[in-house]
Amino acid sequence: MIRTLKAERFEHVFHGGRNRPIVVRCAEEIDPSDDMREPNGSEDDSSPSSFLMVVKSAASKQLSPNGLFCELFGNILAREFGITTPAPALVVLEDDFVEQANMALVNDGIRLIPGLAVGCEYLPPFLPISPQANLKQDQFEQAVAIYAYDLLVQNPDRNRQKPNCALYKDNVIAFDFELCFSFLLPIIGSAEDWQVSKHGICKEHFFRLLIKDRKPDWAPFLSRLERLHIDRLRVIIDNLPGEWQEWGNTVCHHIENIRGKVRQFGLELQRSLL
Amino acid sequence: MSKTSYTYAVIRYVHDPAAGESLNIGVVLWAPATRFLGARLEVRYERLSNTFAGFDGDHYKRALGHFESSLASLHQEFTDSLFLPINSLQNVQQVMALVWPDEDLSFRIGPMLAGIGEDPELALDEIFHRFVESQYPQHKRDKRSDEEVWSVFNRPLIRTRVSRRLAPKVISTDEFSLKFDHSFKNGRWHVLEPVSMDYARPESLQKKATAWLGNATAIEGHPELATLYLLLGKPQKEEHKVAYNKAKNLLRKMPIEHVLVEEDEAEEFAKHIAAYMRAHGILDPTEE
Repeated sequence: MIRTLKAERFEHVFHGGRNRPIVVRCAEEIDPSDDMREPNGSEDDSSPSSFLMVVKSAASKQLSPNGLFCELFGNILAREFGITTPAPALVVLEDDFVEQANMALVNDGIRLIPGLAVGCEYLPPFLPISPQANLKQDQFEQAVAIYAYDLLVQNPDRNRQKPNCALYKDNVIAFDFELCFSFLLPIIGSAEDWQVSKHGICKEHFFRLLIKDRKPDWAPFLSRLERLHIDRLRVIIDNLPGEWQEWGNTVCHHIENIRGKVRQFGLELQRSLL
Repeated sequence: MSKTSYTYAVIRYVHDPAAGESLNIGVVLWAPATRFLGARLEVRYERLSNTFAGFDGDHYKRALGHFESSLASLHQEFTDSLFLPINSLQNVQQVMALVWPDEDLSFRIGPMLAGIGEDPELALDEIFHRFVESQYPQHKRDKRSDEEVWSVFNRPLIRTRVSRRLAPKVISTDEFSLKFDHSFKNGRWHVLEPVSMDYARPESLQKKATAWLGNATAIEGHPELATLYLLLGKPQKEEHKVAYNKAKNLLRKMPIEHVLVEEDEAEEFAKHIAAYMRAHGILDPTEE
């Protein structure tokens, strides 16, 4: 089950990104059925069912409906590959919250609309990773996994201008998944799903040069791909809003295609560094 | 003497961006006409750990280390290039966007400020004092930590590209284990260890030297250990000079291969290590 929360209090706008996500205190909407792992732990000690979330909604200057799905499912899928991310959740924006929040947001040019939004845990402090950083070995392996994942899901949105990753408690943490699954868009191209060196994403990836210098081991990521529980993903998809389920099924189909060519995909990962 | 223009910005640590509280931790300055790019950072974090709940000092120091390395790489690039893309690097904000492009994390660049002066490096020191050091009560600084000594040696090590090849190493025996944070391998391990001899009382210097004598005895004959480089931070007080010389004599008795390096030898030491690394293929010969 996907955790679903209800927005209660607006706290902050992030002005740095194109989508201007907001920090919102949320309450538990529905008790989760304990299928998913617990979030990484930003629960307010004074209120056990209260969470601080970074929220993106289908509002002005924010995401398209496809983008909300990608943000949520891209995060969920990344965690299946062992990538550290802020825990995702659906966030319900009710009418009265929207009305109040919009009064505060008017100077930011953001106008929320009631309905479903997507959030992830707010987990400060996030420390920046410099492009020339000499990462520790475990951090390097995390960077390798993020690079491989982004190529797997065709995410072009982790680059030198917008790293969308940081150091959190000594781990490399990835966030912002709204541009994952580029293959959901009707783009005409001749490359196969597994031919990731030809998708035009690797060249600009934030971790490319850092990984290239240190000879990555792709085996752990490929092993996770082979062992991925597609059935578990399908259960999650069945609990998504109806209009998102078709996209979810397309993503699963994409993953299964590549899993059928895992050796070639591994070679393509290596080729992507050339 | 002609004056040069520069822009600068204060670096802030924002523990919780939504809450918005921050402390100044450094300054970065860029003078494009002279291609001077520098930063001064506060590596001591007592203020931060006293101010912010859940602050992680080790994590903070490592992240600052990454930043210093990145800045040094960039500076080297600017120095080496015949032609700078001047239009895209006119001010410090544009330069910092190359190192920290994300504006919403816990290290932030404040508003861009500007000045003119004859010596950008001097200006940087003055600005660091103005915006960082002068903003909190300074306890009488009668001693320096090992980390502060390391920051003196690390600057030339960054410039010579050595620092990117250094990694932690634990030397263990059945009875004893010692972690060195800055090490490199050429067959066996060469370990660099900052040791502050800057104490309020001279007896503390002797104590530190005998502690290292003990450490060295415990790892004597270890098959993985090649050379221990002790990077010494000498005492600031003139009256501790005799005690310092005695401490060094104790250190010279360590029963392992070792080199004592003084602070004023930091530049030469960095060049020596870099040359050694290039000669043994640890550093690419073109990385100069």
